[in-house]
Amino acid sequence: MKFIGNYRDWLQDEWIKYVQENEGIEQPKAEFIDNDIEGAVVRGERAEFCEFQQKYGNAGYDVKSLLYYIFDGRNFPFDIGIPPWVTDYKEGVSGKYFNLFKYKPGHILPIHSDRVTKFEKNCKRYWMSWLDYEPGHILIYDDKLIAPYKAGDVFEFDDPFAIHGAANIGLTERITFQFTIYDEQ
Amino acid sequence: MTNKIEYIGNYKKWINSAWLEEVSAKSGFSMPKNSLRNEARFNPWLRQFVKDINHVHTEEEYEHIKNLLALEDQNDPVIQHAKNISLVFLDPKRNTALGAADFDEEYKMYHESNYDVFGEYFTLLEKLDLSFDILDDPPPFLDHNDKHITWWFSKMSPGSLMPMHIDRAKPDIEINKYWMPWTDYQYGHVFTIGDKVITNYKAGDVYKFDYAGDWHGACNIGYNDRIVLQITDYKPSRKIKGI
Repeated sequence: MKFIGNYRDWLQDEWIKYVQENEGIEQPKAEFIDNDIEGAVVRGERAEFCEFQQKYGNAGYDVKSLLYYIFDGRNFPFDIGIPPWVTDYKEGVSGKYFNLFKYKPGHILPIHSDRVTKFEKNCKRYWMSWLDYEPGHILIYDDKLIAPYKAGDVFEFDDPFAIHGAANIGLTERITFQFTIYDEQ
Repeated sequence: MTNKIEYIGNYKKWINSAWLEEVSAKSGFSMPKNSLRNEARFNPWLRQFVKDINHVHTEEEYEHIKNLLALEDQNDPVIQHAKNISLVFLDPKRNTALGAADFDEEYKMYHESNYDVFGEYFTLLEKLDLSFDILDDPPPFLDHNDKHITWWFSKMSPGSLMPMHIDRAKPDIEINKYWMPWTDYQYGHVFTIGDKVITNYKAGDVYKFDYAGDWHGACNIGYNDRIVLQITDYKPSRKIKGI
């Protein structure tokens, strides 16, 4: 991952407070149960799972469990706009989406690749932590631990479809933000 | 203080395939649910009460242990260690909502951070759980003259985690710790010390740590089991009367 810079000034305290004070959408439960993601893959409505996600159940992960929380356009009531470090977003050409991930101590996100066919063309993915790094805040990208960092530090995925995963084996919450742009197809 | 970590070589040839097979097949005892069993490995006073992992202490046994503890030297660090978490885990009426007030500071910290201190986050296997003793064929990297050796396997299946912690150790006792994965590194196998991780290791690689006590932890966010042998050697400083 490539360090882009610190953009703490862009980050609003009320955004952080909202995430800290609300639970978010329980994942992977919401994806697998509420959104029937496995059915969508079978029906061809979304791209195939990456090789890791295909082994999710056999590895012992419970798709009906709570492993972490997410916030996105559905449940985050603020308009974040286009972050200032994103310089090649083209109105009418580029698509965009964001996710916020909230990990309480003990929460995990198994390793995976975010390969989704719809987003493949000219995809760029940015990652920002909304809180300072603490020991136990795990982001594994390829086989590297991304640490330490400060709240507001922005990194770009060298490869938006690289294998990555996360966990919180620390003692305090971890909140991370991902912003993705791609060419609409 | 920071842990000094030293890679001392690969000793895969020493790993007995039958031992690996047995560890791979057995589930071990869940942690931190069975913390008492884990602490007893290091505490000769506790050891007499926790041999059987499946034994649930009765009220009568619990009161008897408390009475015996009260007769011991309360300034003795072994007795203080035995009192700290053991009484909570031995108490047949233990309750996480009520028990938080009785935890020692370390367990209280985890309880207040959202961890279930009676939960099942990872598993351990030790001599009591296995048909073999690694000291019957000691690893060649281990110098165990006049030293007390303890060893155990940590087994982390996908989704397991071991929260960040500092190993309980008295700073005036010289302790060496060896960390030896018995499975090759795979994506998602995380062992972190401070803000570093150990990756790209092979089964049989051995790392030696001093015991200075940096925060460390592990998790398995991958798709295969991770098995690590851990060995601790130290010179015992005291004997418990009668044991």
